[in-house]
Amino acid sequence: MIRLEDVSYSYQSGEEQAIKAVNNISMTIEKGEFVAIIGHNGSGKSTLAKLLNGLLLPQAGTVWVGGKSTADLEENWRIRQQVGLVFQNPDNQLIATIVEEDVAFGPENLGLPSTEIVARVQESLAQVGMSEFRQHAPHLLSGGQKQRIAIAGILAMHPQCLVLDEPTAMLDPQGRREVMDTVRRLNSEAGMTVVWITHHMDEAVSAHRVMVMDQGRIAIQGTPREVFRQTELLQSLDLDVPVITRLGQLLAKDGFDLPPDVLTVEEMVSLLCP
Amino acid sequence: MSIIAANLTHIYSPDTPWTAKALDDVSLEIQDGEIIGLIGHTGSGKSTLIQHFNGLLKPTSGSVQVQGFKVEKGVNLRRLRQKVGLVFQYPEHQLFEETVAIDVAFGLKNAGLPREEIQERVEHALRAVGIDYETFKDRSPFELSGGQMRRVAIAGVLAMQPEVLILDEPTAGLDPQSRNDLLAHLRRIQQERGITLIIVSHSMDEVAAMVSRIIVMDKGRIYAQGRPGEIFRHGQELRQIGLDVPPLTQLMLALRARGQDLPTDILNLEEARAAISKWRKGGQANV
Amino acid sequence: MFKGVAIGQYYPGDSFFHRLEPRIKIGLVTIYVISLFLLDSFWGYLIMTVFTLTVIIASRLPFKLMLRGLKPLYFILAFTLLLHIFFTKGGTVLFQWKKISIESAGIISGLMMAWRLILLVMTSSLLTLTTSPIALTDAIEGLLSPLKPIGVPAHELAMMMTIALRFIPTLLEEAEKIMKAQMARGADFESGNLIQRAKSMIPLLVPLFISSFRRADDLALAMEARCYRGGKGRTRMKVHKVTGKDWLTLGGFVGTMAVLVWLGI
Repeated sequence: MIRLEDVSYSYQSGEEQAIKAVNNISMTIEKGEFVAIIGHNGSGKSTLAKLLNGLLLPQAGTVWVGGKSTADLEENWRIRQQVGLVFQNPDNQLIATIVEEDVAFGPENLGLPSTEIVARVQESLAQVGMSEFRQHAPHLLSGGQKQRIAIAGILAMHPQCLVLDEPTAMLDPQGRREVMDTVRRLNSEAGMTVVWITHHMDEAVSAHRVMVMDQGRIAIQGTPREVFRQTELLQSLDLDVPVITRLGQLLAKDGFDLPPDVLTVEEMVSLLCP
Repeated sequence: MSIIAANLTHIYSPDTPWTAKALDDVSLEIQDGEIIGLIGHTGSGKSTLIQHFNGLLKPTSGSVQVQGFKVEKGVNLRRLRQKVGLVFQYPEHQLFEETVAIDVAFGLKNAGLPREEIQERVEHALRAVGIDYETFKDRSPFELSGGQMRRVAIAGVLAMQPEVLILDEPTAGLDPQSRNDLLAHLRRIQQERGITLIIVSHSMDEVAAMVSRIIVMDKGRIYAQGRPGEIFRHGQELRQIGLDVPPLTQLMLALRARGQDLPTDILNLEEARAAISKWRKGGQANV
Repeated sequence: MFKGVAIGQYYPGDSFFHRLEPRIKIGLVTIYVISLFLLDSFWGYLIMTVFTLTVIIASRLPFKLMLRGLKPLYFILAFTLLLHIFFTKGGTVLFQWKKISIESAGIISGLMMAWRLILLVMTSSLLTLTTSPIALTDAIEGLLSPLKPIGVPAHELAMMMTIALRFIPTLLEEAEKIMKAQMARGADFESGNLIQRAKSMIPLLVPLFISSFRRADDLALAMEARCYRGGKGRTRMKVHKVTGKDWLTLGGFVGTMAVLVWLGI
C-alpha cells in the first residue's frame, strides 16, 4: 500500500547544519496492517508521518502510495485523500464550530455532491461512536471526543490508510482508551490500514508490527514480541519497555520458566498461574 | 500544618445557565514536607482545588488555610503566592521574555527583590531543574526543546522559593526520557528544601513511586486517600472512575482473582519481582 | 470565566424564520433597517414593532435573551434620551430653571430615537440568533461572490470568519489560563495607572500571540492534510437553496414596506 525507497528529509534551521530528520529510510506498509512507530521526541517520527501523505516531499528517494509517487504533484491531492493524517493536538485540527460541519470539511474539499457528504458524515461519526454529538460545538467536548471527531473528519474522505501522529499525547487515560479502542476497531473490523505513532510503549503492544526510530533511522523492527525482547537496546535509545515484559525478564533470571517477550497482563497471568 | 481545607465547595458561574459545582464539600489536611499525588480524571475538580491553594480562586463556601493564610477576600495575595508556587499545565506556554534568565526572574522582579538576589536565585533555580545557567541564560526560551522549555518555566516558579510547590500535570506530553528527568529533579528539590510538594496527575503509575500519599478525586469530592499501596488495592473501582490502574497492580489483582495469595500494594518492578518469587517458592506470599 | 460563552449567539430552533434561506434573511433585515429610517413616525414605528415582536414570538426566542442583547445599549440609550431632552426645543415648555429648559418636543424625539435604536438592535440580533454561524458565513460568501471578478476574496473572507468563530472560545480559555499562570508568578493585571496596566499586559499578550501562531501553523497543516486548497472545486454539505417560499416572503415584505412608505406613514 505504501512503500518508501531510500527516503531522506532534513530541516534547515538558521545557520546551523541541516538536521537529518529522516535518514535513508526504506520500508513498506501492507494493506490492513497496524504498524506502530515509536521513538523519543526528535527521532524523526513526525516528519515520517508527513512524508507518508505528501505534506512533505522527500528530498531524496521516493514515497509510493498505491503505485503513485507523492512527488507527482498531479497525484498529491489524491494521495492526501488516500492517506489521512490525524495530529496530536485535537484543538488545532478542528475547523468548524459544529461537529458535523467539521467532519464535512474534507469531503467538501474533495468536491463531492451534498447528498454524498451528508451520508459520509453520518457514516464516519457512527464509526467513531460520536453520532449523538453531531450538533455539538467541538470546544465543549472532552479531549478524547475531540480526537475522535478529528478521526471522523479523516474517515469521511474515505482513505485507505490512517496515519496518527501521537494522537493520545495530550489526552487523559480515559481519552486514550477511547481513541485506542476506536482505531483498533477500525483496523480489525473495517480492515483500515493504520500507522500509529507514539511514545507510549503499551500502545504498541497490540500492533502487528513495531518500528523503533532513532535519529531518523529505523533502529529496530519486527513484531511487538521481537522488538520488546530487546530490552537493553531499547533502553539505550531512551525508550521504556512495557513493564510486564521487564517483569517477565527479571523473573526468568530468578529461575521462572518465562519467555523474554511476555506482553500483556493476561498473558502473564496465564503463564504464572495456568 | 501546611494546608487545611474544611468543607470547601466551589461553584463556577453561580446563578447562570452554565453553573457548575466543581468542588463539593472537600475537607483535607496536608502536613509540612509531605509529597502528595492528587489524582483524578479531567473534570474531577483537581485543578479547581489547587487554584484555591494560592488564592486564584476563593471558596464559594467552606474555608482553606495555606501556610497560615486564610484564603478569603482581602488576603494578601502577593505574600500568599510567594509561599505557594503553582505551575500550570504546559507551563512553557507562559514564557514570554527575550532570554531564559529574564523570564525566570519575572516573578522575582514583581516581588521587588534587589538585583543581586534576583541573579543568585535565578542561577539557583535553573541549576535545580538541570539547566546550566551560563550556557542558557542569554538564549531565547523559544529556541529550547520542549522538555527544556518546561524546566525553565518551572524554574520561574522555583525561583520564588515557595514553601509549597504545586504542579498540574507536569509531565503531560513529554517523552519517557524527559519525564523521568523532570520527576527526578522534582524529587531532589523536595528533599533538599523540605518543601511541601503536590503533584497533580491522571497517571497513578507515574507518581506512585515518589509520593507519600495519594488523594483521588472524583466528581468534585475526595474519592479515596492513603498510601499508594493502599490506594492501588482498589484497582477495579479506580478504573470505573476513569483512572488507569498500573499494569503491575492489574497483574496482582488478576492473580488474586485466581485464588492466589499475592499482595496488591505493589509500587514498582522490584517489589513485584520479590513478591512473585516468594509466592512461587513458599507456595504463598507474605503480605 | 469564559467557559459558558456561546459562539455568536445562535439560538437553535426550527421555526419559520429559522428555516428561511440565510441570504434572504440578510435581505429582509436590510430592508427592515431602510424602512425604519423612511417610516419616521409613531404609527410607522408601531407597525415595525409589531413585525419584530411577531418574529420573536414565532421563533420561540425567550424575551430574557432579547433583553440581555440590549444590555450593551443601555448607556447609549440613556445618552440619546438625555441629549434630546435637554437640547431639542419645541412644543410646550415643561420645566424651566435658569437657562435649562425641557420641552415636549425633546421628550418625544428622545423617546422616538431610543425606540428606533431598540428596534434596530433587536431586529439585527434576530438574524444572528436564528442563523447558525456557518450558515451566516455561507450567506455572506454567497452574497459577495458576484464581486469576485473585481477582486473581492469572498471565499477567503468567509473561511476566515468560520475559523475565527471556531477559535474565539479556545483563545479566551487560553488567555484565562495564561493570566492565571502569570498571576501565580506575581503578575498584577488590575492595579496601576493606564500605562502601567498596558505594560502589565505584555506577559499575557506575548504568550497568547505565540500560541495563536502555533495554532495557526497546526491548523494550516491539518487543513492541507484534509485536501483544502482554497475555494476552488469545493462543494458544501448544506446547500442553501432559495425556495419559492423564501422569494414569497421577501416579495411580500418588500411590497408591504413599499405600500407603507407610499402611504406616507
